Amino acid sequence: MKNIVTPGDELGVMEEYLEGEGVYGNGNGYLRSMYTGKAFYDMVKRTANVIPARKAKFPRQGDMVIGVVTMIKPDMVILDIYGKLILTGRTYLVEEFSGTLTGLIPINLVAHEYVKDLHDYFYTGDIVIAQVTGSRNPFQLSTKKPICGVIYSLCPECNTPLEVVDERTMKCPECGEKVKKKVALIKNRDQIYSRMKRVLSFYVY
Amino acid sequence: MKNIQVYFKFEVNKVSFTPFRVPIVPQLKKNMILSMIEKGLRIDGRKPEDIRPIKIVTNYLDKAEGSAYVELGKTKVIAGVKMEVGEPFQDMPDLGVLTVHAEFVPLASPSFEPGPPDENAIELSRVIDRSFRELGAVELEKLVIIPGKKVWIVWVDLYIIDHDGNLLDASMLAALTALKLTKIPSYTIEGEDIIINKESAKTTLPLKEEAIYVHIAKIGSHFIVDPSLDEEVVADSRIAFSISRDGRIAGIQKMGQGGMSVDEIIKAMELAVTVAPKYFNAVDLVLNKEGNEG
Amino acid sequence: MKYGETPQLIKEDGTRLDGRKPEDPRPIHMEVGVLENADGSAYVSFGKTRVLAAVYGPREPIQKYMVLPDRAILRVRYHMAPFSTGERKSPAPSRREIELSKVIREALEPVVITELYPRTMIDLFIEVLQADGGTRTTGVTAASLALADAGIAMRDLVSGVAIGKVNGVLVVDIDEVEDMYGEADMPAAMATKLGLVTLLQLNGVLTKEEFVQAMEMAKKTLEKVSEMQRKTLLEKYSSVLQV
Repeated sequence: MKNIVTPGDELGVMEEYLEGEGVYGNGNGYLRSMYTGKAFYDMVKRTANVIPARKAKFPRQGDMVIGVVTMIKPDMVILDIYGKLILTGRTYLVEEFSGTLTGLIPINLVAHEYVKDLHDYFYTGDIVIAQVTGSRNPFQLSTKKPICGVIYSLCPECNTPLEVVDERTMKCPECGEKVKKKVALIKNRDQIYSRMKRVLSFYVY
Repeated sequence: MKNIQVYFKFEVNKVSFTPFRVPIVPQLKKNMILSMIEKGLRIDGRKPEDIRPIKIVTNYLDKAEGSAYVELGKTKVIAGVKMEVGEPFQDMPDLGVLTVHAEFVPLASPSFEPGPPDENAIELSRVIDRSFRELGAVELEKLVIIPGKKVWIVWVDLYIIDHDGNLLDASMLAALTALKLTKIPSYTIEGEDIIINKESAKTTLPLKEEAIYVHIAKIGSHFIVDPSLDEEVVADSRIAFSISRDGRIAGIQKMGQGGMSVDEIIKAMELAVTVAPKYFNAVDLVLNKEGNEG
Repeated sequence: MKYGETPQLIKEDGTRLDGRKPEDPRPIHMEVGVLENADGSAYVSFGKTRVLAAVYGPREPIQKYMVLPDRAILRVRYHMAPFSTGERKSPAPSRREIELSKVIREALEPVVITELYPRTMIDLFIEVLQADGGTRTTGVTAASLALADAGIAMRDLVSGVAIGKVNGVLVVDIDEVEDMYGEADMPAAMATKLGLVTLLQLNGVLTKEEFVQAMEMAKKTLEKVSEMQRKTLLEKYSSVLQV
């Protein structure tokens, strides 16, 4: 059996193994690979898997994604998802998609506390980090985790980028206006900004 | 709103989409079609290799040089042939021109939209055009008026007016019948001008070869001939063979979102060759009657 | 040369004008990941026919109603560059290009596992840089490589080749001259591991026996092409896969 496979290559017969990740089994009784990658046989679960060398840029359950709030409804926040955060070591990198996908944050997944008005948490145009909890477009998202929330927002009065005060407050350095937000508690905020120039220039100017 | 519509049309004519507005066959009907096919039956009572009843009306239109109205089951197609004097193609100065054009008019089906021909209409006309052209069906050498300058241009326009599946076979039948009935208007040459006399004596369009398309759908592991719309939607894969009078293959087009193995294709081809005479008989029957009366 | 005169395309010793045997394809070159912005891209040439393909997505369609609830929509554009042909080709899409976009889309639809990306769109753009016969089959070959390069789940790779009939002889991978003066041109594409023919057209006239023989020739050639595609992909990712 081959160790390195391309789409369509056989990984075994259906009697031998179960379908694992990246493997499908409706091709003439054989298990075949979906991707170019490495074959991996899980002898405990008896599954054949393929670890892809490259996987389509598509969010999966549990992924952290980054998006821009496009609309706030009474019971949910709608965003355009622009990319995926990839944790490498201790820093997050943004993998931008070549288009957008839609995300929805229902009111019960916004924060741990009782949420009365979503405008106390987000505003249209905010750049938000959220975790994917659904598996199809439009993706259901959650911002309950501390690292999820707003990472970039503009002052509603004078359009200056806001500064973080604490996990619920942001402040305008120009006019001193304090705004309620669900703030993302992440360290390397600047790095994410710099990786997201395309999004910022598109939405801010 | 207006902008969106314009953009949509623009997009449709530039790229090919997975169809997202297909006629929906309810799941129940789909299961029924599949289970009946397993027993060798079809929902309209036909056998897998049966074609639907064909009704052909010859000379359906008066203004066209040749015309036919074809009903294949509930699918209805009008073919009109118009002859026009025009210039030949630069690389083929001594040949007339044959052009097939298909129009899916919106009155035929809820899934047809007004606007320029979409990819399905273009595919249909090109597939029919190809078959006639490659077979040398019309003797284009005889359609020259002044060599290199003026030739006859034969326009075959196909009008789908009711869509119940298998547009290809019905259109091909209509096109073939209309071409066989086409009369070339007489003309006189006066210097550079050609004066066409549509009323006076006419000669028939010279046809050398004939072909018809046989459209075969694969449902499960079964082949059915002449699929209706419901069957077409359910089909895993479809293939059409153009079969000439002497049983040669004059064109193939594989359609639909599935694949077929080589053996299946050869099996389908053999089925198409056996079915083709049924279509030819239908055309002959009508034209013979026409000949006797005229 | 005037229309109607068929030149001698098969020499007396049985070889073709460019010295190939009837069953030989032209020299094939494949590359993946040639473009920076695209999620996946490929460049394939069969002799002088050169094609570039790029994949974007899965992403949200611009018109949000253009979605299917259970799978992704495939959007394909086959386009010929103005400088790809002898005379300048108008860049506006011709009827031929619209038909071929559809045919290529239907050739790829059986292999892309679109069910994994519901309510999205996968964009596939094919540009013919130079046309010398067999552009749609080269396009399909490049497109399936680009999809695999983008990491989109696929059941198999699709490979394409055109079989022709010139001077009464069936030949593999016809070029422009053979297409123009030959008796038949049969483009075919197959997912070889699954044994599925996903694209089949015929431009010309063949007898039943010739058709069966042509299918066999196509199958044999496509197995070789498919092997080359796999080799190209593995070479590209060899550094990732060795770790």
